[in-house]
Amino acid sequence: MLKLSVELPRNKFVISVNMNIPENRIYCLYGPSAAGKSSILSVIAGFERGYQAVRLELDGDLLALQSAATKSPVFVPAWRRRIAYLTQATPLFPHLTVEENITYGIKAGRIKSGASQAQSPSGSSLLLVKELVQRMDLHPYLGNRPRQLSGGLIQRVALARALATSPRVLLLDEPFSALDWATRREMQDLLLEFQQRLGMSVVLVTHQLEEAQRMANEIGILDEGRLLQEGDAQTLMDAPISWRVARLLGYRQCIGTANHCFALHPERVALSAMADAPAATDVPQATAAPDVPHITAATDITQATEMGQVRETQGITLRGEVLSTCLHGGRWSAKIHFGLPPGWVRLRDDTALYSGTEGEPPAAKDFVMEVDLPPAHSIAAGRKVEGHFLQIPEVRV
Amino acid sequence: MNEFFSDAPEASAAGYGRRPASIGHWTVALIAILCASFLLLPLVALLFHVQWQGLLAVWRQQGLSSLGLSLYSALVSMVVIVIFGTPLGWVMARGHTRLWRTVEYLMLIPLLMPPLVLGLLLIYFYGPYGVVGQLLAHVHLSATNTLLAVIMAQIYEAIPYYVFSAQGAFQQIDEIHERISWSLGVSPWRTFRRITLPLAVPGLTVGLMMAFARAVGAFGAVIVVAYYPHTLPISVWIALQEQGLPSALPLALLLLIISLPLPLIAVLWRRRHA
Repeated sequence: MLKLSVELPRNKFVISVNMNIPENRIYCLYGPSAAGKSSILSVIAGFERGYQAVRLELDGDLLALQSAATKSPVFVPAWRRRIAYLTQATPLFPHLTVEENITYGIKAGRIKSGASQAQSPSGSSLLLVKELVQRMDLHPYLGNRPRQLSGGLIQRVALARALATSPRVLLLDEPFSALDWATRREMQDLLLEFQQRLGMSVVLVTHQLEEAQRMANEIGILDEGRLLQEGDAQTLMDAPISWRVARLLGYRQCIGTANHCFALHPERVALSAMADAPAATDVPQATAAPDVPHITAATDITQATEMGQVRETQGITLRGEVLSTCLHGGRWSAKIHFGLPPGWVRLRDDTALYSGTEGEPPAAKDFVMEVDLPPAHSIAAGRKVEGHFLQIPEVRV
Repeated sequence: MNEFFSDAPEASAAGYGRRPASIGHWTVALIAILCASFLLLPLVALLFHVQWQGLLAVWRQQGLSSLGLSLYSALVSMVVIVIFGTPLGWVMARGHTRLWRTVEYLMLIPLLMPPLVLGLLLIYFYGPYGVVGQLLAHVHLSATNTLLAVIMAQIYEAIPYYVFSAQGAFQQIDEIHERISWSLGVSPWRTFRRITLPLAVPGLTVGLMMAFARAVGAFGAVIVVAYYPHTLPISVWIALQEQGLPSALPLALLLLIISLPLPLIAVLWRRRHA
């Protein structure tokens, strides 16, 4: 459990937050640029000491304590906290090879947890390094210098280097925002995998809603140094507590009275009581475009799947089981398990897949892919479709 | 100051490529070439005027002992300069308080002070009637006309060059490297040894070589505090005074050969690996 409460003056506002992050969870700080997100990470990491008051506790250890009332302030320095830190452009140590970079923490760091103190680096930590290297496909680059690597690769090595020390908490400051779409997905999956395997808390800072929704168990919306609302992705999207929050979540219009407000997203509707909603007169009735359907009932799922069949025009429609769903901005994306028909398959994004080897009679193959659901599905589907079968017309053979 | 010492690779001129040659362009080129020749021609002239036949003889007769002294004292100075100058350069680069900013500006004074004035100050402070000089006398040491005096004068002339180079070298290393190292559980001292220092070594080497050239060639301060024993620059001066240019030139050439190559190599090596 990571507990933080801090008062940290910045140029234009004072960051004042109170956060509790349970063990083994991914907590995401989401908000616009310059909202104070990175400063909070710096406080947790132990780099920032310009606070007026702080109380930081990790699994019962007091890491930092300072306030006007405290007589004996506490400050555990960064190198004794076992809190790793990764930013958007984390540099590797340029004079070390990839391998030396990854093993740097376990070889140079003397401060270990009580359990691993007896072991030399040749013990479990080297095993972890081996696993990280293998899982992240870093074998071919172990002898390379950082300047020979691409940006995505550097970030992968930096992640491996941070994970190799098996930190209690991993702090991520927009770690993947400089990467291309596919690499970002890959890194996110690697992170999720190792977070679960190593069992650590993660604090992720991002200004991308999709990333927050995909990664986080809990999202805290931060603006101008204040936590406006905390909750899981679904709760936030369904019931933003204020118009300010709704806007940060991508809602564009608010229709209604001050007490109740329909917030309109390009792909969503939320009905919520928002105290700070603009007066109804501000929004001309004409722009309250009624082509946004307001349905969220579970019964609509069948309707939606049928719509998919109806819209199908060419090729065959794949029928797959929805393994999990995840908010993606205002839409939903779903992990769908298909039994691929034999032969070549061409997907909408022009990825070519081949199930079965050439020359042999092709066999059906299991295949899981992530698909952004079209709006019609999105509104109907939501989280309720898990375990149901869904047909995606956009995936064609 | 730091731009000069940090030896950063020049900004790319790609944006200025292929301008049409104009009169102004040629004028600038001409002035630049004139200036470069102005700086280099005397050296070429020296190479032409030295009498190569008697060179070795002159070196053996007059140069050897003072050369040995110059090298020995410069080496000792270098050791002292590295030990004391590196921490100062580091705090000037990393210390963000007003104290260290002030120290940085104050360090410009010894750097810019004329060596002759520096020598007078040294005599005043370390000489037989100076504050520290009297303390030294208690332990039977003297900082005038001794090896100690030579070394002290060399350190005073050379250390600012090393300190500012070290500052530049440390400043070029992004502090994020140190923070990341801490977050991986590595203490500041180990971080300095394993990350900061190795990354700073090229810059420190250039600074040290510059300081070495200054120390070997130190004259103004040295001649005031230590006419004896003769270092190489002072031997050059004496030869010029007593025997004239023909016997001074070979010694001057020897001084060049000793003090120039190391800094040149260090700078070229740094450029290559920047």
